[in-house]
Amino acid sequence: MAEAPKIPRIVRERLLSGQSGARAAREHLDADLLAAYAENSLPSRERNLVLNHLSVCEDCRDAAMLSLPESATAAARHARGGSLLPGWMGLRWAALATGVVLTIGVVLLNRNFEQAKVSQAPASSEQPQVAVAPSSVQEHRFQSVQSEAKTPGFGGGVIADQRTRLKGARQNRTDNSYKADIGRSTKPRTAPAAGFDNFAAYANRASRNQTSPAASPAASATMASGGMAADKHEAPATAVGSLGKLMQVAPAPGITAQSSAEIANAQAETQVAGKRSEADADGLREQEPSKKKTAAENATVVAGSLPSPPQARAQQAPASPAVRAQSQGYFQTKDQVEANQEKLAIASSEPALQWRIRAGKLQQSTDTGKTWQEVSVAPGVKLHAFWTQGSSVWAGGTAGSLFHITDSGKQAVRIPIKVGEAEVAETVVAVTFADELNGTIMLENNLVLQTTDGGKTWERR
Amino acid sequence: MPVAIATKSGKVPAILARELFEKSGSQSYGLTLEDFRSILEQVGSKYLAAGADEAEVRELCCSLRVEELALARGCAAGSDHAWEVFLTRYRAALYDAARGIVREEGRAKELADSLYADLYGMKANGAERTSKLNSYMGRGSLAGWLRAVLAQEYVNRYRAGRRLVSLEEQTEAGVQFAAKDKPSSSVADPRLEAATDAALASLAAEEKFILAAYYLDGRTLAEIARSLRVHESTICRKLEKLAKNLRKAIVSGLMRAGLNRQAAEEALAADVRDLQVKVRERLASGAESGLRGENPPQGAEITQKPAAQAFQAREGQE
Repeated sequence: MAEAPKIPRIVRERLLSGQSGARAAREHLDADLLAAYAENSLPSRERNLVLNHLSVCEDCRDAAMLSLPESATAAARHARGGSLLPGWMGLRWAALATGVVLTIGVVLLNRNFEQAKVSQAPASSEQPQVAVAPSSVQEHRFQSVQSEAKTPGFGGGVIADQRTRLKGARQNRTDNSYKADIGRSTKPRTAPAAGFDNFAAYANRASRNQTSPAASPAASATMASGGMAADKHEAPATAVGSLGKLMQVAPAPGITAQSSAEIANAQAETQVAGKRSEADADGLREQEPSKKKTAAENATVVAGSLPSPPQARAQQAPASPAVRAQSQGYFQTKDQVEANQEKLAIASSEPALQWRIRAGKLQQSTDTGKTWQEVSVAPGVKLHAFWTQGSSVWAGGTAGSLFHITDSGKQAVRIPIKVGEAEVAETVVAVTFADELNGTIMLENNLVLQTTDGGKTWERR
Repeated sequence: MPVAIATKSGKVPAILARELFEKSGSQSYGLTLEDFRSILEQVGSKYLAAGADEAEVRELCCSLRVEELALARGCAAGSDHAWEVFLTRYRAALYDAARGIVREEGRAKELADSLYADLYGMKANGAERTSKLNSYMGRGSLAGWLRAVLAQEYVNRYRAGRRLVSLEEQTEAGVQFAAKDKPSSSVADPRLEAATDAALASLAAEEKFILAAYYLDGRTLAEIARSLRVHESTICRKLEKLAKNLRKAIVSGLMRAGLNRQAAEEALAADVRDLQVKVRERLASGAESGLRGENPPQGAEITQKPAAQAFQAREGQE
């Protein structure tokens, strides 16, 4: 500690003369006030009076110093950074640690905020960003594909085009924006719309994007921009926005033959869509036949439902003249796209079920997030994370609670989380389910448990 | 004689007295509600200003350590149960506090035992027993009060002991050959004294305490910080600021007294009592630099060295 500055001797002398005056008066503080002063329990007025007296009474100063409790010593030592490190070193490390924690916090909060903002943004506002490719781009892509179709190297050209687009997508998207796009799902059940409550689940999900069934606009955007490698060979590359408008019709033929490494890469990129589309194919099956037909005929992907290779292929491709036409090299023009919009609006008029957690309660929306209805899961349980897979929803929360919610939220069954014989009592902070049987949860104590039998038994991972 | 912050008080409301009475557990020490109420009024009369309103009375009473107050007064009244509780809770703490103050086992025990006698209130001549616990008012904890009483007792003994110096010791110390006290080498300018007094008077209580503790008592920054419950560096910063502001205020005071700035600064800087120290500082620094084989440049400001500082500190103490 630096040496304190010197004062003029006259100051010291005048201070001393004040001391002698007080000594002559022979008045001292009583032990009660000294004790209260030492314990810092005096009101400010009295504390000032005591300090005034202490400043002129040497005896009382000595007594006050001697009567300081041991805790004050400990507190002072603690304030100096403890005995383990010198004060300045402790402060330096504390400042560094604080800086690191703040930086991480800001990054996480920023990411979360961005996701929440995106997922809460009205669908109409996200539409141009997510799915509506600029017409010039569409036309350019059209032309390029058409020109490639006429050439022997058509497939390779498409792949090249696709690769370029994927690269562009990679370059143009930062990690955050990519995740934000995932959060911009037309089915916000997978989007972190629930804000911080759902963040843990989302972070967990984002870290394993292969399991992310987020029917994400990232996927749809990728598809819309021609990057739908997984399904392009048969599934129509038509994506619609959350309002069901036709966004783009992209050609597919020829890619079937191009099951090359590039496509594999692209598949990895858009595996999100593939996973998700399995569930959505189920959704398509549940649609009314006429609507399904319309959807199939127009070879579209309804909002929030991305086509999956097996099911969509089985249901849509064989019956779809449009697909056949596409496979023959037929492309819809912009006018045709617009003409199809009406049909698509009907096709997508089936309300998509959306989920979120607010204030520890699970909520669902059937009108693309305009209104939300609370789903009664279990009174007194505060939910923290949820996961959707097909028509099932899993939600976890306080006191080791995990629920399997089916039938559009009408049925909720509690899944006991038992490790061995003991039932878990910690809060569930993250939930993922790959299917009805295989799932993983994370508890507040960072314990990760997984089940392979739908929650009957759990094992540490 | 204790400092009386207030002399009169208002009456303690009956509801408040009952509430605190029940909270304090006075009944178990044989105190009645009336006894307890009179204790509260005694506390109020000591610490509240004359004409204090009910809110002030309530605030004071609610801030009291009523449980410990009841225990102390129960002991003072001679309740066996109270003494049992007191000894159980505070006997070890009292000896620990004494050891913390004296730092010598035998003297610490002696100090603590002497306090026990006072607490019990023994009177040699058979007069009415007056326990020191009767003076506990519950402003701080009972343990803190015991520590403060021990500290006061120790300071009193130390001061008394310092005044009693044997003639033999004085002779051995050569007091008979001691030179007479030197008269002050110069009388300070009364304007300087007045300006200094005014500057000191304008300081806050805490600032005056810091100045006195650091410059007069030689307390360390850590000790002062502990007393004020702030960090050591805070005290260091405050001292720097204080020294700077004091100098500035004194110069301003001198200028108001008719001196121009240069003269005022010279008057403060050229305080004759400092000259001696500065000469010694220079000598000490010169000796040090001479040991290192350095020749300080003529007329250059010599940096203060630790040895000089130590010397100056000794001088200051003398």
